[in-house]
Amino acid sequence: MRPCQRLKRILEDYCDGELKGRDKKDVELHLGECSGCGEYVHGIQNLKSALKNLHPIHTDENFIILLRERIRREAAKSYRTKRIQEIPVWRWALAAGVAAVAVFSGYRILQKGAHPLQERTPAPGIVSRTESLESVQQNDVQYVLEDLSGSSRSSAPASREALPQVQAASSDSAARERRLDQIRDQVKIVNF
Amino acid sequence: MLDKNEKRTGSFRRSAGPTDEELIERFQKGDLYAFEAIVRRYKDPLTNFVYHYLGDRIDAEDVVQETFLRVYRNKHLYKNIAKFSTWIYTIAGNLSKTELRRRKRRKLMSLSHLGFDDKDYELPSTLQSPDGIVDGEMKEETIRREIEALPARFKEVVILRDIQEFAYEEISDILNIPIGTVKSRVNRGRSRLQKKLQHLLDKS
Repeated sequence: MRPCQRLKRILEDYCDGELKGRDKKDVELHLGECSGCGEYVHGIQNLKSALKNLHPIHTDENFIILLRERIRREAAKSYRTKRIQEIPVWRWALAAGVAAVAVFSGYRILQKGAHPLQERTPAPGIVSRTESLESVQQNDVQYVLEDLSGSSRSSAPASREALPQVQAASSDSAARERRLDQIRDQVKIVNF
Repeated sequence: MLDKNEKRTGSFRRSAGPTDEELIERFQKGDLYAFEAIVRRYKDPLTNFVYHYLGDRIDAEDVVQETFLRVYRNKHLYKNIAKFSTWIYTIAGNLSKTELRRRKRRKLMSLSHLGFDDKDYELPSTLQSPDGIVDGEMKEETIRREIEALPARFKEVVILRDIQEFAYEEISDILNIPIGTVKSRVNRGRSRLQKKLQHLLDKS
C-alpha cells in the first residue's frame, strides 16, 4: 500500500527523529490508523537500521606509519623546492652562461671531429695524406705497365723482382699481351 | 577503534579531551602531536565514509591518506568558522569524487581497447542465491554493493546521513548544497535502496 502523499515529507522527518511534541504524537496517531503510512515508515526504519548496523571497517595497522612516511617525503620535497627558490638570480644567470659555453664548445668539438677524412686545405709545403697516396699508386701502376710492355726495362727499379711470373712469360708475346691485360684488370680493381 | 554500537561521528567529538577545533589550532601552531591525534580520531570514520563511496578498501585508505596529507599541507587554510569535521569530510568527499571520475575514465579506456570477436562474455550475476543472502556477511556485502551502485549524488548523502549519522545541516555544509536538497536526495536514495534491498529487509 502507498502512504498518504501529503504526509510523506512529515513521515520522513518522523523517521529521522526530527519531529517533536504534538507533531510527533499526531503522526503516531495517524500511523495507528493508516496501514499504508505504517508500512512506509516501517520500511524506512528497517533500512536505516540495516545501514546503521553495518560493521565499520578499521584502517590497516600500518596506516599511521605509512602516513608519516608520506608526510616525511612531502616535507623533504617542499624543503628542496624552497632551497631552489632561495637561490639568487645571479647564480641562475651564471649557471646558464656556463651551460651555454659548454654546449657551444661541445658543438664545435663535434663539428670538427665528425668528418676526420674530410679534405682540408693543407698548409703550404705539406703534402696531404690522400694526395701522396694517390701519387704513389699512380707511380706504381705506371711502373708495372712500363715493365710489362718492356719499353722501359732499363729504367726499372729493384722492385722488378717482385714480378717473376710476368718476366717468365715475356718470350711469348701473345701470352704476354694476355697477361698484360690481366694485370691491367687487376690494377683497375685495386684503383677501384 | 570504534565499536559497532558506538556512534560513528558523534561520540569522538563529544568525548573528553580537546575538541577537533582545539587540536587543529594547536597543529596550526606547529604541534605535530595534535595532528597525530586528529589522524587517530578520524582515520576510521573517514575510511568508512570513503569505503562506502568507492567500494574498495585499498582505494579508500589511499584517499584517506591523501586527505590527511592535504590537511597537513593546507592547515593554514582552515578557519575556525566551520566545524573541523565538515572541513575534513569535504576534502575526503571531493577526493572520492575525483577517484570515481578517474575510475570511469579508466573503465572507458579499457572498454575502448576491447575488440569485437566471437567469444561470449558472461557477466557476473549481481544477485546472490537465496541461501547465501541468509548469511550475515553476504547480507552486508549486498547492502554495501547496492550503496556503491547508487548515483553519486544519492550515495554521498545516504552514507553521511544513515551510516555516518551526520545532521542534515552538517551534510549541507559538507556538500555545500541547501538542506532541502539534502533531505530530498536522502529520501530518493533511501527509496532506491529500499527497492533494491526489499528481499533482504523483509526477511529481517
